[in-house]
Amino acid sequence: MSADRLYQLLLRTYPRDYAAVHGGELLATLEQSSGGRIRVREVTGLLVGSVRQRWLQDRLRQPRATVTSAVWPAVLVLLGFDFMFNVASALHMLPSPSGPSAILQSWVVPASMLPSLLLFALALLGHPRPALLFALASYLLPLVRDAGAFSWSDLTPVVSLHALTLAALAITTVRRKSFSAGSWGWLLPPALLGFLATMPSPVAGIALGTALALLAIVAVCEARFALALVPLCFAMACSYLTQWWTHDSYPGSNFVALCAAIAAGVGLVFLLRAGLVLKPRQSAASK
Amino acid sequence: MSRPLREPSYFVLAALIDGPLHGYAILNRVGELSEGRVRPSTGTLYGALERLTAEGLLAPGEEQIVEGRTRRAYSLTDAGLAAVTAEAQRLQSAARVVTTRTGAARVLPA
Repeated sequence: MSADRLYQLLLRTYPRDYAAVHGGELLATLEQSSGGRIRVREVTGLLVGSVRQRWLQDRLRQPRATVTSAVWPAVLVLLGFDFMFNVASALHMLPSPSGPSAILQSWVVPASMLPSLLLFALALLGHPRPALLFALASYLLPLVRDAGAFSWSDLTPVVSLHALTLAALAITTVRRKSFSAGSWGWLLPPALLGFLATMPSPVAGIALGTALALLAIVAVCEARFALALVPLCFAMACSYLTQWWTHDSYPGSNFVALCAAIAAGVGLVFLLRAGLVLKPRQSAASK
Repeated sequence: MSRPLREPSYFVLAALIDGPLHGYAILNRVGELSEGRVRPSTGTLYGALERLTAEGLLAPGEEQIVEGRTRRAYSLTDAGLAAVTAEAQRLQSAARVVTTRTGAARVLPA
């Protein structure tokens, strides 16, 4: 990879409006100061600079703007997680190629992830209203269809992930704000994570750990991203808690309870991180 | 009393006393003035420029294309000149505390 290409990629870690205003002059200065070569100090300087720039903008942003701008990333995170989960489930259920119904099932099973793929794509393209209608249909129809065989565990995704996704989509629909379309490349991370989740434990663990570390860095950079991750954390905590409550006699119940506690704890930390930025701004504004 | 400037910020402001400069020229001037001791990376320099601009110590000019490169000159504001002058005086008086006494001090043999 050429130095110019790498520096351009790193410039994308800066806030979009800052890169739009200063990106050209920054790259021109980099071209001269690095002599067209990749230099570790320049790479480090760009990464640290992008974090500092996000911190600076975080402090300047009004608390209300921080909260409202967290809703759309929250929608993308929730739908991205749902898509990742469905990719992992579909790949896990794929039949062996030698089975009699292999040809039919190899098409039917991956189709189960299509609704979540479509929802995530609608959100990426910035269409909250169609996404809300489609989410209502795809989340509620299975409940109506299986109403006869109701169990508490069926409600797990409804009371946690799906309910929060519907609420976030409803908020964005009511606000009627136009959302800029994201890159199609954002489909790749959840799809890749879903694929890696089906791999043996070291690979899956490394992928999950890397993803969590990246999310933590993103949450540290800006309060609105920390806020956007809170619904996912509490949805996961709620999901694990319901599993533990409905199946408390099976051998892994202690591990599930631990997962619920960790997810809730991480959610609280993110909430506290956002609160630390919001609170001083409110007190400063009242002076 | 204003808080002390950090060393890179001090040299960035000092580099602009003689007139407006663009990013790469600021980097070179900072290196010259600090005798090579302070050499911020480009990312660090632009972080400092943004922070000093937000504090009203610098004023960015219009973006221009010079020899195919995007350029923006930064100039010192009155507040910036006052801040770097105050910092220089603070450093000078801090240095005087030591230099006026070391001249008369007797150093014990090791």
